[in-house]
Amino acid sequence: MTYLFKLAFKNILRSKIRTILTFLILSFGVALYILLACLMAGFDKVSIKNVIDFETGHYKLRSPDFDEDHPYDLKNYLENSQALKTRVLKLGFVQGAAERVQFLAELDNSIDSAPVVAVGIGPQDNQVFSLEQYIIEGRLEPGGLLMGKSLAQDMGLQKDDLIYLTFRAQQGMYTSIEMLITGIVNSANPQVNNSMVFMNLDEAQKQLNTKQVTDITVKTDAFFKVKEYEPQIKAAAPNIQVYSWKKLSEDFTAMMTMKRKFQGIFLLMIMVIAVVGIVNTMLMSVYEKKAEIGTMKALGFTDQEVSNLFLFEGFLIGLAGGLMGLILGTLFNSWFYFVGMDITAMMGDQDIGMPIMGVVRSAWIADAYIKALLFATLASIVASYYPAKKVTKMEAMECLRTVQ
Amino acid sequence: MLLQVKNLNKTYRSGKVDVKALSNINLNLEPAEFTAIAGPSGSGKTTLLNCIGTIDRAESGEIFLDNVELMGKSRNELAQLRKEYFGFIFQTYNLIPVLTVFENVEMPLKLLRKYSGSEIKDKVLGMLNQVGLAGLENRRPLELSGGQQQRVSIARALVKHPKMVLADEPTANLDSKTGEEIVDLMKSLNEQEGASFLFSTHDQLIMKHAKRLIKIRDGMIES
Repeated sequence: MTYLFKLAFKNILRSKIRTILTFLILSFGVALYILLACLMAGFDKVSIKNVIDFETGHYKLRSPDFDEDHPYDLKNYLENSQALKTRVLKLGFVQGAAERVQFLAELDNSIDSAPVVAVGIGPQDNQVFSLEQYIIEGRLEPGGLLMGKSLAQDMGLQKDDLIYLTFRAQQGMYTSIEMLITGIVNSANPQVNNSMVFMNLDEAQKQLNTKQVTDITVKTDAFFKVKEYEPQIKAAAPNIQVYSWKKLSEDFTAMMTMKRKFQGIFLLMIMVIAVVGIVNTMLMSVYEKKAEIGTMKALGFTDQEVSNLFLFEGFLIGLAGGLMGLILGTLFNSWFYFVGMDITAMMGDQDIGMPIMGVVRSAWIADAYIKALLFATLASIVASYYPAKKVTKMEAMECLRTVQ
Repeated sequence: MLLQVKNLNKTYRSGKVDVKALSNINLNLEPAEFTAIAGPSGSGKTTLLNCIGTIDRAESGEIFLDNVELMGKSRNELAQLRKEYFGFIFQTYNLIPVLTVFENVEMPLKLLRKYSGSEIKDKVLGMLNQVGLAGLENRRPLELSGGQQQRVSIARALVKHPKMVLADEPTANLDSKTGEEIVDLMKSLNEQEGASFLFSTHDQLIMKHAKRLIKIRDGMIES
């Protein structure tokens, strides 16, 4: 076995250019797969962070009558929110809880108008949400309004401009109030930037003529322990609807699943290309080594031993190409990990189906490395199977006759 | 008796025509013989050697090697027989170009899987010394002359001490002086090693070195 491996190793070094080309096809494919998997993982990581930090927290507590089809309907108010919040905060793993009032409104600059989600935020909002860290100009002042950078740009607004916010209050009548833009937010979540405005919670409640909130958002010590903590949260909030961030971002998680499937298809395509290349290389190798195959059979190599020689060649090409691919993939991915990719510069404010904006960095995914190497090696062995079988059937005398 | 060939027949199909390559061949060889099969091109010399060496199959007849019948053996059994009993020398040397002289010669020993690394080394170096290639063990075949390559091929055939060495026109690709040297070498190794040599040739100069000459024409033994 060792001897056959040694022979196979010497054989793959024989046609250097052909071997290098086969290695390159394989390693480039492996590298691209690794890059894609790591980039997607990076996108997912940032997306999850942005969803949690700007939209969902780890859990949202809502009224039992909450209507998912009308999420900003004022009928969805949560009663006794203060007591509920206190109960939830007593749980050891809960790091913060923030009350918010969300309602649909029309933003008007006297020339244009745009539908927005208006959010009333309390003083504890920064225990759960990261909004405050992304204020690039001014701040949320009493009687003032924070708005997303993209929305402000679209409507030609800036800090210290006055706008009208029109909405339906609790009793159903339309209310229109004049507000001063006191701050601009440039968050990493496009929804915040494009379609949300923020005001103080008490002012929002006053305008809506209510003392209630639409939801309490809870942050725990670990976002991945959603299932583990949920029963305890539910116990602390009886008769309240508890939604985890996973449940609230089902559309986005479905897209993550789709992306993984796409990655699988991509891997398959790469491997088909690599397999075709390797089959070609191995068939050329069989043809070139016909006389040697005959000689080896004459010397006493069994059909299986000669066949194994070609399978080992395939294995070595796959392993070496795969390893080279890992190195190349690491180099490619290093750029996207350290420098990143400016999504906004590439796509503008376009909705790409993921809550990401600005520079997004890739991640390191060990799973992709293992999968790519296994696939490359396995595909090479599979690709070598047909040429190896062909060798098994060849008669020693027929092979020798080609040169005599 | 080392080898017995009885009523061996072999027909090739060339296009739509059947060509009788061997016709009722009968032949006996004793151990340590040095026998030449002589005949013109297309007379069936190579086919006979290939059938005896089990790398080609005859349609009918019998071949006994050490009283073991070869015709009914499976491909794997024949490979095992070739590994243990036969040494092959080819007209075009058929050395593996990616291997060094040493590695080419050690190949049959590695296949036998019964010698240690140091034993293999001793045997290979000893054999290379016998064929006059001492010091060239790290060269690749393409770095050697035709005569040297054929010496490597002889060393490869003899290193495992086979009972029988089959050489198909071993001097055909060499000049006459080198050809004679190679036959002299084969002859001396035949005496030293005791292996039976059966080689084909159509060269009159080479034939005179044989202790026994079998003439073949149109697939039949003439004498």
